Amino acid sequence: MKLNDLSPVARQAAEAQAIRGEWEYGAFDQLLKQLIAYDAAMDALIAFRLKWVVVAVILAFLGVFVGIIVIDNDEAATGSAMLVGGIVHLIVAIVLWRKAKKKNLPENALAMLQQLFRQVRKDLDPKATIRVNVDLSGPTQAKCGPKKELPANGFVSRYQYVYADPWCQLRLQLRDGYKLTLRQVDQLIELQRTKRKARGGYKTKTKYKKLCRLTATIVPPTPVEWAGQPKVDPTWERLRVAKKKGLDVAVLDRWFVYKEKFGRPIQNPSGADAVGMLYRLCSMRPAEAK
Amino acid sequence: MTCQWQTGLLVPQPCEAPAMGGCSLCGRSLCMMHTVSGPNGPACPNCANSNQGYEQNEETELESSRSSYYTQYGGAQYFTNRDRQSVEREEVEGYDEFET
Repeated sequence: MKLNDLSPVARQAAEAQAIRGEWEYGAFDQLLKQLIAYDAAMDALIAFRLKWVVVAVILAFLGVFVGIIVIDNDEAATGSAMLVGGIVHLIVAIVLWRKAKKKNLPENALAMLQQLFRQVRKDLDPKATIRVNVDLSGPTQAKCGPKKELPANGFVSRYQYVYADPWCQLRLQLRDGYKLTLRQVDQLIELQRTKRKARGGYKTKTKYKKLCRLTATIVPPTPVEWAGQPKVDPTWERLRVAKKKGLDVAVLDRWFVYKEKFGRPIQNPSGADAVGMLYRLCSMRPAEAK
Repeated sequence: MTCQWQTGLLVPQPCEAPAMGGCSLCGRSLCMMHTVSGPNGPACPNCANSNQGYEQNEETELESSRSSYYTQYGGAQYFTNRDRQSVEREEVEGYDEFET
């Protein structure tokens, strides 16, 4: 699915890499479906362009090699054309590949939202709308915090960069008047370590770790006394009751950690994880509300 | 007679559509939407989920999710002391350490 095949709303969301505003469930589900299809097409395009870059590298190498031989044989015009042509072709391939990568959407985030809403759609108040503020641009340079120098610990230097990405804010109203909010903040932590090699040179290695914090809140329509508390995993979860506009709201936090051997981790908590948190918060409602 | 299946996950509510038949395994009356066909005759999503050979649909998947949330998180179980400690402390320690 190309950008032009999307509906105007989906095209706007894909171009802005963001979904904002008040949505009815049906329209929001349609939007997610279109964005997921667009993302699958973009993934295929990126894979194709990456192959093109590999071919362009080989052609550029051959172009330079053969071009130099041809120039040496007194055919400077042909040789130069081959040399320059190969390099320009490589630059064009790289530029197009990077351009496609920039437009890519995080498929795991979209899948999470789709799974979440498909499971809870029957519980939503049909008269109310879903308030959405989703940023799909990922950990861009603008979200990177200041460079932090860590103790060297035997290395030449160790630097840490933290990308804070509060990408998801949702607010849903249930049939019984309770409101649920879900917030996800991702922290991508980049660690750069430089060490000295045996021959005197320097080598820098980069490691990434992604921390996701999912915060679910249940807001009662009127002051209530929560009936018991659900079970939480003390390693990764925390439950608290906070005051908000005179109401006792229950807040459940859960942390997720992802690591990848190569490159940035792209995993995300699943929709089932988010629904599990909402489900446990809903189990705190007084008996008459359940 | 109306369908006795409860729809929804967070706010369960009766389906209330006219019943067209019943579950051959548990006997509850069901509408067309909540009837799943399989080797032991028509069944409700819960029985279809717990018996092999039934086709899976949105309702059976939702029922499966509901069971897993209930089992995983203990449903009506109460807080243990460890749970209480995690609630009382200010911040979950160690989550922001890079090299774990």
